[in-house]
Amino acid sequence: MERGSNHATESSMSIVTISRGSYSRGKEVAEKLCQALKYDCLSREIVLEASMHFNIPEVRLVRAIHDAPSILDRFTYGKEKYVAFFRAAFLKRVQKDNVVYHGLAGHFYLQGIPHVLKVRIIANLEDRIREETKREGISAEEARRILVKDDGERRKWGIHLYGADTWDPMLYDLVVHIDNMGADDAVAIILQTLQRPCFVTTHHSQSRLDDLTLSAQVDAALVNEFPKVTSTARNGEVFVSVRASLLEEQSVTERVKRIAGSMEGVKMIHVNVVPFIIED
Amino acid sequence: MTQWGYREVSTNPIRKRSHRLLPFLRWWGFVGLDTLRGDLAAGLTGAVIVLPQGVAFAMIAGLPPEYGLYTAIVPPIVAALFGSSLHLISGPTTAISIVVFATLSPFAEPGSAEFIQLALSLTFLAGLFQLAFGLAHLGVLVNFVSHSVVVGFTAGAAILIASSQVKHVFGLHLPTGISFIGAWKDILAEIHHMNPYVVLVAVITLACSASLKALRPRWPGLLFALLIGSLASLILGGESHGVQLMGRLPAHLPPLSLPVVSFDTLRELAPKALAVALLGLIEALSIARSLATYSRQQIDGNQEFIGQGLSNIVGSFFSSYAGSGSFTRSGISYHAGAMTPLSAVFAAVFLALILLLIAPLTAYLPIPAMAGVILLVAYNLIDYHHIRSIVRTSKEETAVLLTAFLATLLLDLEFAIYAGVLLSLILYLSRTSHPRIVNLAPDPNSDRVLLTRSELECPNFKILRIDGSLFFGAVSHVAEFLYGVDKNSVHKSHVLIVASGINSIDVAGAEMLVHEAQRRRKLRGELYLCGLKQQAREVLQRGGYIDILREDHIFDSETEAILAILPRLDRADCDSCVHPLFKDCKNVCSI
Repeated sequence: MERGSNHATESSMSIVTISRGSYSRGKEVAEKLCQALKYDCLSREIVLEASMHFNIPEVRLVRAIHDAPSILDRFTYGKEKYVAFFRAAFLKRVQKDNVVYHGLAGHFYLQGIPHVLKVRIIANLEDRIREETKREGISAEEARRILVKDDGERRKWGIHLYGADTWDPMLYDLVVHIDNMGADDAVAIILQTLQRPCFVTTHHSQSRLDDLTLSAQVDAALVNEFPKVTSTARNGEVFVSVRASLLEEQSVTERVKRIAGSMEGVKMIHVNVVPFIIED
Repeated sequence: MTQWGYREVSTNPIRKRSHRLLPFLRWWGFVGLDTLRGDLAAGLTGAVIVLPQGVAFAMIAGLPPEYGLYTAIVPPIVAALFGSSLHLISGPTTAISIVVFATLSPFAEPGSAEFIQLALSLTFLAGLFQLAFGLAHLGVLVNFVSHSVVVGFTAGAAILIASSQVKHVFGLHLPTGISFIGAWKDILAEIHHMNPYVVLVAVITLACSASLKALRPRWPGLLFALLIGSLASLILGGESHGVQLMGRLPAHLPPLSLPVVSFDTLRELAPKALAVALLGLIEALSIARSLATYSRQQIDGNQEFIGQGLSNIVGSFFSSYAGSGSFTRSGISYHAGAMTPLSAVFAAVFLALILLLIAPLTAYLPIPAMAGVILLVAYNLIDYHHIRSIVRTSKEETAVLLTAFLATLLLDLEFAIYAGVLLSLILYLSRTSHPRIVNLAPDPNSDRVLLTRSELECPNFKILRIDGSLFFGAVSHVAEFLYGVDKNSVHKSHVLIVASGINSIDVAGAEMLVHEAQRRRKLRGELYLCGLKQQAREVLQRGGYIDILREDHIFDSETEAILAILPRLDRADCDSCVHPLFKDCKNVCSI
């Protein structure tokens, strides 16, 4: 840890996301990493912030970012709305930099941002079962069932919303297997990795994060009216895609501009009406 | 996150195969609550609109009225799910109904059981033909129908649709199925007999639908307008004042049927089924392409053929006669907010429900109210924006547009379509057989040898670029142009062809180049080529033409060509040149 601390004092600003399964000791790693780096440690706080900011029940938000979507969700777009709110709150918070986030979905939202170190902590199922049995006081069989179900839900969630499996190593910069190494070893590895110049915040990478954050704020503002909204931003210029009939192009464009045009950071809005998508 | 586009390409082979077999899976992922809302509104409106149309078309086809409604239930569902267009609504149509009647009436008494049986067999056979055309990939032919033809055809069809409704708007009792000019003659002759109650109901409906469209575009305005029109008719006591109502409909779902295809029926009906199949396909594809100009969708002609074929085959087992795409219903559906083919499915389901549950209520639906709604749809079908841009852009395209427009108005619809296709083909052939030939000269503002389009020419040396393929159809035009080079100046015996715009060369093209090279040598000149594409070069090489053209007369780049050719020119007249084009012209002159 001593070594890690030294590195911490030398390191520039950056962001670390830690994706973890239940009882894989990822939380412990994240907390120790925060201590070493003297960074803010975020997890459930984001949910609370999103819940307060967008005035939605916390329990619904937690379910939306955890549970696999039902068939009904596809038509009601409940999940998309809550996810948009969570994403907006998450990006707004991490935009300030010097943050370690551990929990759901962070690695999806920060794909393509160079100064974000995306870590996946994995552990043997038997170890996780043992940990859960010890902490929750339930049988091993019950613990196994809960863990397998939980893992399945999270994977389905990612595939449904982002077309990517949370277990796919391509989503991460670093996958740490907590087996014979302890949490301190994992922290040391992460700290070592974090010293690499590619994870240092640059003007360019911060600008990309700012763009991403702005587009997330726009999505959150529009999602109630246009549940399938997606937007991208570049230096305050926002490109919004919403689905609607081309007959409504003008009125939809006006509505989007009215809702999002006056948002902080938005200099210009371009609206693209998507009347259909055909998959080949 | 997946960025939205109109088309997403899957790399999964199983998924690709399933998309080919079950084409509705290609748009199924787009369906959501918002699209369902639009499709439900469009479906409900479409179901109401098809009620009177189905009855009328069945009567035109010589079949009992309920057969028109049966044709509007099963075939549209199959065509929507297996076709390509997202907005085409299939079912009974005027043109096909007329052809069915004309085809079968010599064989059986219209309306008789035998006639119905023949209609089902004809439908089955026509469907088989259409399916076979689709599987044989003949749908690609639709790509030869030009945009101007589609815009002209759409505008003409819109005016035809509107004209067919004018008598209902004024409450005139005029015969149906007469020509456009005949219809207007009759209307003008009878206009003094117009019924003010009928006009009022139509105007109220039209005003409501136009206002709702402008003020509340997301509402199912056409449907509300129909309801308001019906209420207005009730309040005015329309029925007692001559406002025609649709009347009660039979409360049946389409019964199962079995088309009989014996050797005799096959021999008698096959040629006629082929005509029905072709007409249906051209009609459906023209309408699908026309709608696609609004929706910006790419139409897959083969898939549309397959969808139409399957719809008629399946329909013939559910008491449906031959159908195709309907311009009116497709237009109404699209303008009522349809976003996916589910609108056609909903329209069919609603029609079935209307037939079963509220058939008696349809008796109160006034015909002029429906006419008012159709007038608005017809107005919206005319693509003013594209008409303006075509007229501004090209005289040739404008002539094509006008021809398609007038043919639609003045000829039978099927002939208008044939004329449109023919015109498009003529236009295409004319364009490809006249590749653009541009005169080039060095850019005076560039330090390098950069050739740009220019009016200036070197007296000894002609540089030109050919944009288009050098194939048998274009050979005559290009050869004529090259002959013309010498007519204007006998000294201009050296010609460089910048071939970067030539995508392909066939044997005739290669022969022409060889003849031109030989001819130029006799004129103390040479023919040079530069920037040849790989495919064109291979043709010249395989045929041994390069040996005659000479390898050292073919250059990779313009710069290389110019630097090699300039020293070979006859410089006798360079001193008197008033337009020295090349940087070393002065040096050349002083030698």
